[in-house]
Amino acid sequence: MHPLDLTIIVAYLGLIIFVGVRLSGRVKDAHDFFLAGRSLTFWVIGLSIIGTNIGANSYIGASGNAYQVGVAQANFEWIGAIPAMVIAALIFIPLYWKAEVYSIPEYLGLRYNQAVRVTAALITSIVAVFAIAVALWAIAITLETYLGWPTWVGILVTGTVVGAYSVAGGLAAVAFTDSLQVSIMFIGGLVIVGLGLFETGGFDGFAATLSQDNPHHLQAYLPADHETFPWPGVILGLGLVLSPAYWCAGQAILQRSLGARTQWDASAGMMFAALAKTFVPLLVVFPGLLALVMHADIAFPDQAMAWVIKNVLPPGISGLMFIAIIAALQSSIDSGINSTSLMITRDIRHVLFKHADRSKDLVIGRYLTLVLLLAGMATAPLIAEMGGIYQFIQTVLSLFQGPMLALLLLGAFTRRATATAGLWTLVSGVVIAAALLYLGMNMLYVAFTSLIYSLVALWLLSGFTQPDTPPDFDKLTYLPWWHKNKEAS
Amino acid sequence: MTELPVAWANYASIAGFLCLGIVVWMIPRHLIYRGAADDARWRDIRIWATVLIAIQLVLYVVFT
Repeated sequence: MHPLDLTIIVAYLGLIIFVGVRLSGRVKDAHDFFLAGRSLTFWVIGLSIIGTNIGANSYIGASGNAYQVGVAQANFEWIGAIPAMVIAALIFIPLYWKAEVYSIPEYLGLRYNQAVRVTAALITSIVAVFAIAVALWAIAITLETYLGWPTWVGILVTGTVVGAYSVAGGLAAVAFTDSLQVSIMFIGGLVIVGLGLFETGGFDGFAATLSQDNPHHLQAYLPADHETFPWPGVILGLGLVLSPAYWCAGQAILQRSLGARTQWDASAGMMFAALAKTFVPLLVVFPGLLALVMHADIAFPDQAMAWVIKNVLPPGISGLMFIAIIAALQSSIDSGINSTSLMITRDIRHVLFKHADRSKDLVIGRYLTLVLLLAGMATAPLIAEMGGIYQFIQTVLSLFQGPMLALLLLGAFTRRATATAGLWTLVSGVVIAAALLYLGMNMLYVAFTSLIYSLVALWLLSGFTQPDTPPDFDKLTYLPWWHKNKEAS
Repeated sequence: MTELPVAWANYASIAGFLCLGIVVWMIPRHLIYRGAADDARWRDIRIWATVLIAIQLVLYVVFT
């Protein structure tokens, strides 16, 4: 590695630790630690949301997919994100603010019951530990490839750096370092775009070469009979189910919105993130296309990004891009441990141990942050052997997306949905989704079918059941128009 | 379902974004400004959403 690249990397690590540790002085209690004392402004929230979203799979996997399928990969950033982000900003974030909750499981607990709250928190927490481990492993592999560090050294160094600011500074440190990391990602990505277009004869030359060799690579959608990404599945499964479930109910994403200075900052932060998200394909899709246009000599599509860094970028800039990848992974890890720590501290501990001393939330939250990080570090080396298990867990999580979204939608927009019906729908919806998956249905169609089933089941079952204690509907739901008309008359 | 033409996907996306644009402007102004430091025009995030939707429409028209 060029000395200039090494200098940039060391400077970055020093800066991240400095910013994070400096912000730790602001943390006085659990409210400061988990919600940054409700002090975050919209641009910090927006950049932090993008940092949390761009994860282990984005740089390597997305550019590899773009190499194979073209611009269609960008649907994960456009139709598979933007509509849900707009709805989250204008409809769900104001609702969570009105409910004054720390987390999405807490909202579900208030709207349904504590069993739903614990179930949602538990599922999300278990998957999060594995996601943290995967991100740590991905960093270790990247460091091994570029710097020749043994993987255990990479895991140790990353864990120490992330731990230094996450344990001490909580959400504020996580959000501010995320913002810095995303800025670096965009600078690195835009340099790749500029140099890539220069090398390939400008945009016209780039597009002409790409479409000449790969006529379908500039189409936003793939044919309806495509094995992995059929367009009806992308619109119905990704656009209508997986994306809304992720953006409107994902704790790691929405925690920074709940830590906003005002409700306006919370909503504007998500909208700002959506504007940034529109341009994320420049960072993660363009390099894959560039490798294709430049006839990269690679054995696997996932090597596209590494090839571009090595062959397109000059010394110094390649160090910056290397940092961008590390930053993307670090921001996912810090957000994961902070949000999981919150859910275990409040949504699981407070419910299962009703007399738990809440004044100890800060201490417990910090210990849990450290424990989760150590658990991720201990699990990371096993990920290479556990790839199948991780995929299995990811699949299990996606089985919950349809039923969870149904609970959220009918919970937020109607007063009909009851706690008992909610639990039954959650359980039966997951069973049906698993059965459909077992029968060989594409995951995108499984998500859509399980949502439709869950909406119908929750609606019908709620007609036969009563809530144990009626929740505070004014605070937890939007009054449907037919209720408004009734009240007005 | 497997016989449906690819162009319909773009039409569906464009129609979806247009519907979203209508929903955005159905939200009352006072709810948009709740908690805002002032009522400056740039703080109306319905305008941000409209810009965002316009960009998406261009993308799904260009990449047909």
